[in-house]
Amino acid sequence: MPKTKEAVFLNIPYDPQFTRLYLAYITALSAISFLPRATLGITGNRRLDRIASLIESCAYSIHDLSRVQLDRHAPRTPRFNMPFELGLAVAWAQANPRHKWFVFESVRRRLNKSLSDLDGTDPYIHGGTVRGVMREICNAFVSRGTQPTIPQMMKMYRELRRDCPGILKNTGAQSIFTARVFSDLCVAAAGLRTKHLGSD
Amino acid sequence: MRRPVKLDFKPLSLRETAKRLGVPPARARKILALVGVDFDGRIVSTASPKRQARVVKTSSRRAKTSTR
Repeated sequence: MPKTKEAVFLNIPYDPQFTRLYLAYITALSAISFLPRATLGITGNRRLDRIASLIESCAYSIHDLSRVQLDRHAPRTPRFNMPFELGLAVAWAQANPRHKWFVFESVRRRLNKSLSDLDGTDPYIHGGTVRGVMREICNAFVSRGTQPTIPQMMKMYRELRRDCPGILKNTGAQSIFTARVFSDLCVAAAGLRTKHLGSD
Repeated sequence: MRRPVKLDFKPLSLRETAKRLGVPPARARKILALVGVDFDGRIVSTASPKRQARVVKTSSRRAKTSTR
Protein backbone atom coordinates (compact mmCIF):
# COMPACT_ATOMS: atom_id res chain seq x y z
CA MET A 1 0.00 0.00 0.00
CA PRO A 2 1.62 3.35 -1.01
CA LYS A 3 2.44 5.71 1.90
CA THR A 4 0.69 9.07 1.76
CA LYS A 5 1.19 12.00 4.10
CA GLU A 6 -2.48 12.98 3.86
CA ALA A 7 -3.61 9.63 5.24
CA VAL A 8 -4.46 9.21 8.91
CA PHE A 9 -5.25 5.86 10.46
CA LEU A 10 -8.39 6.15 12.57
CA ASN A 11 -8.58 3.55 15.33
CA ILE A 12 -11.98 3.86 16.99
CA PRO A 13 -14.75 1.60 18.28
CA TYR A 14 -17.42 0.65 15.75
CA ASP A 15 -20.61 0.65 17.75
CA PRO A 16 -23.86 2.60 17.60
CA GLN A 17 -23.10 4.49 20.84
CA PHE A 18 -20.03 5.91 19.14
CA THR A 19 -21.89 7.22 16.06
CA ARG A 20 -21.72 10.92 16.99
CA LEU A 21 -17.98 10.78 17.71
CA TYR A 22 -17.36 8.66 14.59
CA LEU A 23 -18.92 11.41 12.47
CA ALA A 24 -17.05 14.05 14.51
CA TYR A 25 -13.69 12.41 13.76
CA ILE A 26 -14.47 12.14 10.04
CA THR A 27 -15.59 15.77 9.94
CA ALA A 28 -12.68 17.19 11.95
CA LEU A 29 -10.02 15.22 10.06
CA SER A 30 -11.53 16.14 6.70
CA ALA A 31 -11.75 19.80 7.77
CA ILE A 32 -7.96 19.89 8.18
CA SER A 33 -7.53 18.10 4.83
CA PHE A 34 -6.71 14.62 6.09
CA LEU A 35 -7.76 11.45 4.32
CA PRO A 36 -9.15 9.18 7.08
CA ARG A 37 -8.46 5.45 6.80
CA ALA A 38 -10.01 2.74 8.97
CA THR A 39 -10.02 -1.03 9.35
CA LEU A 40 -13.69 -1.22 8.29
CA GLY A 41 -14.13 -3.82 5.61
CA ILE A 42 -10.91 -5.63 6.46
CA THR A 43 -11.89 -9.25 7.08
CA GLY A 44 -10.50 -12.71 6.68
CA ASN A 45 -7.49 -14.58 8.00
CA ARG A 46 -5.01 -12.03 6.64
CA ARG A 47 -6.75 -9.25 8.54
CA LEU A 48 -3.80 -8.57 10.84
CA ASP A 49 -1.38 -8.19 7.91
CA ARG A 50 -3.75 -5.80 6.22
CA ILE A 51 -4.20 -3.74 9.38
CA ALA A 52 -0.42 -3.50 9.79
CA SER A 53 -0.08 -2.52 6.14
CA LEU A 54 -2.78 0.14 6.56
CA ILE A 55 -0.97 1.65 9.59
CA GLU A 56 2.29 1.65 7.65
CA SER A 57 0.65 3.48 4.75
CA CYS A 58 -0.42 6.36 7.03
CA ALA A 59 1.83 9.14 8.31
CA TYR A 60 -0.30 9.58 11.42
CA SER A 61 -2.57 7.45 13.55
CA ILE A 62 -5.28 8.38 16.00
CA HIS A 63 -6.26 5.88 18.68
CA ASP A 64 -9.41 6.49 20.67
CA LEU A 65 -9.23 4.46 23.88
CA SER A 66 -12.41 5.84 25.39
CA ARG A 67 -14.33 2.54 25.00
CA VAL A 68 -12.87 0.49 27.85
CA GLN A 69 -16.15 -0.72 29.35
CA LEU A 70 -17.43 -4.29 29.18
CA ASP A 71 -20.02 -4.81 26.44
CA ARG A 72 -23.63 -5.75 27.22
CA HIS A 73 -23.67 -9.18 25.60
CA ALA A 74 -22.51 -12.39 27.29
CA PRO A 75 -19.71 -13.20 27.69
CA ARG A 76 -19.11 -9.61 28.74
CA THR A 77 -15.73 -8.51 27.46
CA PRO A 78 -13.85 -5.26 26.90
CA ARG A 79 -12.73 -4.48 23.33
CA PHE A 80 -9.02 -5.14 22.87
CA ASN A 81 -8.79 -4.15 19.19
CA MET A 82 -8.08 -0.46 19.84
CA PRO A 83 -5.21 -0.96 22.33
CA PHE A 84 -3.85 -3.77 20.16
CA GLU A 85 -3.79 -1.57 17.05
CA LEU A 86 -2.20 1.21 19.14
CA GLY A 87 0.53 -1.30 20.03
CA LEU A 88 1.07 -2.05 16.34
CA ALA A 89 1.33 1.70 15.59
CA VAL A 90 3.75 2.31 18.48
CA ALA A 91 5.95 -0.57 17.30
CA TRP A 92 5.86 0.79 13.74
CA ALA A 93 6.74 4.30 15.01
CA GLN A 94 9.72 2.89 16.97
CA ALA A 95 11.13 1.58 13.72
CA ASN A 96 9.94 4.55 11.64
CA PRO A 97 10.02 7.74 13.75
CA ARG A 98 8.25 9.70 11.00
CA HIS A 99 5.04 7.95 11.95
CA LYS A 100 3.28 9.95 14.67
CA TRP A 101 0.58 8.45 16.87
CA PHE A 102 -1.94 10.20 19.11
CA VAL A 103 -4.07 8.82 21.91
CA PHE A 104 -7.54 10.19 22.54
CA GLU A 105 -9.57 9.51 25.67
CA SER A 106 -12.81 10.81 27.13
CA VAL A 107 -11.86 10.71 30.82
CA ARG A 108 -8.83 12.46 32.32
CA ARG A 109 -6.25 10.24 34.08
CA ARG A 110 -8.07 7.01 33.11
CA LEU A 111 -5.31 6.05 30.67
CA ASN A 112 -2.82 5.86 33.56
CA LYS A 113 -5.02 3.13 34.99
CA SER A 114 -6.10 1.31 31.82
CA LEU A 115 -2.73 1.38 30.01
CA SER A 116 0.06 2.37 32.39
CA ASP A 117 2.70 1.42 29.79
CA LEU A 118 1.85 4.78 28.22
CA ASP A 119 2.74 6.78 31.35
CA GLY A 120 4.37 9.98 30.20
CA THR A 121 2.12 10.19 27.13
CA ASP A 122 -0.45 12.97 27.29
CA PRO A 123 -3.73 11.77 25.85
CA TYR A 124 -6.09 14.23 24.17
CA ILE A 125 -9.20 14.36 26.35
CA HIS A 126 -12.37 14.96 24.32
CA GLY A 127 -14.82 14.38 27.15
CA GLY A 128 -17.03 12.20 24.95
CA THR A 129 -18.42 15.19 23.05
CA VAL A 130 -18.43 16.14 19.37
CA ARG A 131 -17.08 19.60 20.18
CA GLY A 132 -14.39 17.99 22.36
CA VAL A 133 -13.20 15.79 19.47
CA MET A 134 -12.96 18.85 17.21
CA ARG A 135 -11.11 20.88 19.84
CA GLU A 136 -8.60 18.10 20.48
CA ILE A 137 -8.00 17.42 16.76
CA CYS A 138 -7.18 21.14 16.42
CA ASN A 139 -4.87 20.84 19.44
CA ALA A 140 -3.08 17.95 17.75
CA PHE A 141 -2.76 19.34 14.22
CA VAL A 142 -2.48 22.66 12.43
CA SER A 143 -3.30 22.59 8.76
CA ARG A 144 -1.19 24.38 6.16
CA GLY A 145 -4.13 26.26 4.71
CA THR A 146 -6.85 28.00 6.63
CA GLN A 147 -7.25 26.43 10.07
CA PRO A 148 -10.97 25.73 10.49
CA THR A 149 -12.74 27.11 13.53
CA ILE A 150 -14.84 24.95 15.84
CA PRO A 151 -18.12 26.62 14.72
CA GLN A 152 -17.20 25.90 11.08
CA MET A 153 -16.50 22.28 11.95
CA MET A 154 -19.75 22.04 13.90
CA LYS A 155 -21.62 23.35 10.87
CA MET A 156 -19.95 20.69 8.71
CA TYR A 157 -20.76 18.03 11.31
CA ARG A 158 -24.45 18.95 11.44
CA GLU A 159 -24.70 18.84 7.65
CA LEU A 160 -22.90 15.49 7.48
CA ARG A 161 -25.23 14.09 10.12
CA ARG A 162 -28.23 15.39 8.20
CA ASP A 163 -26.96 13.76 4.99
CA CYS A 164 -26.30 10.39 6.65
CA PRO A 165 -29.71 8.87 5.83
CA GLY A 166 -29.23 9.78 2.15
CA ILE A 167 -25.79 8.16 2.11
CA LEU A 168 -27.15 5.03 3.82
CA LYS A 169 -30.02 4.90 1.33
CA ASN A 170 -27.60 5.17 -1.64
CA THR A 171 -25.44 2.34 -0.32
CA GLY A 172 -28.33 0.17 0.87
CA ALA A 173 -26.45 -0.36 4.15
CA GLN A 174 -28.12 -0.75 7.54
CA SER A 175 -25.15 0.55 9.52
CA ILE A 176 -22.77 3.44 9.05
CA PHE A 177 -19.91 1.19 10.24
CA THR A 178 -19.28 -0.40 6.86
CA ALA A 179 -16.37 0.19 4.50
CA ARG A 180 -18.51 1.67 1.75
CA VAL A 181 -20.42 4.06 4.00
CA PHE A 182 -17.15 5.12 5.62
CA SER A 183 -15.60 6.07 2.27
CA ASP A 184 -18.81 7.81 1.18
CA LEU A 185 -18.87 9.80 4.45
CA CYS A 186 -15.26 10.82 3.87
CA VAL A 187 -16.09 12.06 0.35
CA ALA A 188 -19.12 13.95 1.72
CA ALA A 189 -17.00 15.52 4.49
CA ALA A 190 -14.38 16.59 1.93
CA GLY A 191 -17.20 18.18 -0.09
CA LEU A 192 -18.39 20.02 3.00
CA ARG A 193 -14.84 21.26 3.64
CA THR A 194 -14.75 22.72 0.13
CA LYS A 195 -18.22 24.19 0.60
CA HIS A 196 -17.52 25.87 3.96
CA LEU A 197 -13.79 26.49 3.98
CA GLY A 198 -12.90 26.71 0.28
CA SER A 199 -10.36 24.48 -1.38
CA ASP A 200 -7.29 26.69 -0.55
CA MET B 1 3.27 21.50 26.75
CA ARG B 2 2.39 19.67 23.55
CA ARG B 3 2.82 21.50 20.29
CA PRO B 4 0.41 20.72 17.48
CA VAL B 5 1.91 19.01 14.45
CA LYS B 6 2.08 21.35 11.46
CA LEU B 7 0.78 19.65 8.37
CA ASP B 8 2.80 20.38 5.26
CA PHE B 9 0.44 19.23 2.56
CA LYS B 10 -2.21 20.97 0.53
CA PRO B 11 -5.80 19.71 0.54
CA LEU B 12 -6.49 17.18 -2.18
CA SER B 13 -9.02 18.03 -4.86
CA LEU B 14 -12.40 16.36 -4.46
CA ARG B 15 -11.72 14.21 -7.51
CA GLU B 16 -8.39 13.05 -6.04
CA THR B 17 -9.97 12.50 -2.60
CA ALA B 18 -12.64 10.24 -4.10
CA LYS B 19 -10.01 8.38 -6.15
CA ARG B 20 -7.79 7.77 -3.09
CA LEU B 21 -10.79 6.55 -1.10
CA GLY B 22 -11.67 4.15 -3.89
CA VAL B 23 -14.97 5.84 -4.70
CA PRO B 24 -15.82 5.76 -8.43
CA PRO B 25 -16.48 9.21 -9.99
CA ALA B 26 -20.19 8.59 -10.65
CA ARG B 27 -20.81 7.59 -7.02
CA ALA B 28 -18.71 10.48 -5.72
CA ARG B 29 -20.71 12.92 -7.87
CA LYS B 30 -23.91 11.61 -6.32
CA ILE B 31 -22.55 11.97 -2.77
CA LEU B 32 -21.28 15.48 -3.44
CA ALA B 33 -24.67 16.44 -4.88
CA LEU B 34 -26.17 15.41 -1.53
CA VAL B 35 -23.97 17.90 0.32
CA GLY B 36 -24.51 20.53 -2.36
CA VAL B 37 -21.20 20.79 -4.24
CA ASP B 38 -19.87 19.53 -7.55
CA PHE B 39 -16.46 18.00 -8.35
CA ASP B 40 -14.92 21.44 -8.86
CA GLY B 41 -16.14 22.66 -5.48
CA ARG B 42 -18.88 24.81 -6.97
CA ILE B 43 -21.95 25.06 -4.79
CA VAL B 44 -25.03 23.48 -6.29
CA SER B 45 -28.39 23.95 -4.66
CA THR B 46 -30.09 20.91 -3.16
CA ALA B 47 -33.07 22.79 -1.71
CA SER B 48 -36.41 23.01 -3.47
CA PRO B 49 -37.17 26.52 -4.66
CA LYS B 50 -38.76 28.73 -2.04
CA ARG B 51 -42.20 30.15 -2.56
CA GLN B 52 -41.70 33.72 -3.50
CA ALA B 53 -43.52 36.43 -1.59
CA ARG B 54 -45.61 38.42 -4.02
CA VAL B 55 -46.27 42.06 -3.50
CA VAL B 56 -49.97 42.75 -3.65
CA LYS B 57 -50.87 46.32 -4.02
CA THR B 58 -53.88 46.95 -1.82
CA SER B 59 -54.10 50.67 -2.19
CA SER B 60 -52.48 53.37 -4.11
CA ARG B 61 -50.47 54.47 -1.04
CA ARG B 62 -49.40 51.16 0.67
CA ALA B 63 -48.35 47.73 -0.49
CA LYS B 64 -48.65 44.55 1.59
CA THR B 65 -46.89 41.27 1.04
CA SER B 66 -48.73 38.05 0.64
CA THR B 67 -47.65 34.50 -0.04
CA ARG B 68 -50.83 33.79 -2.00
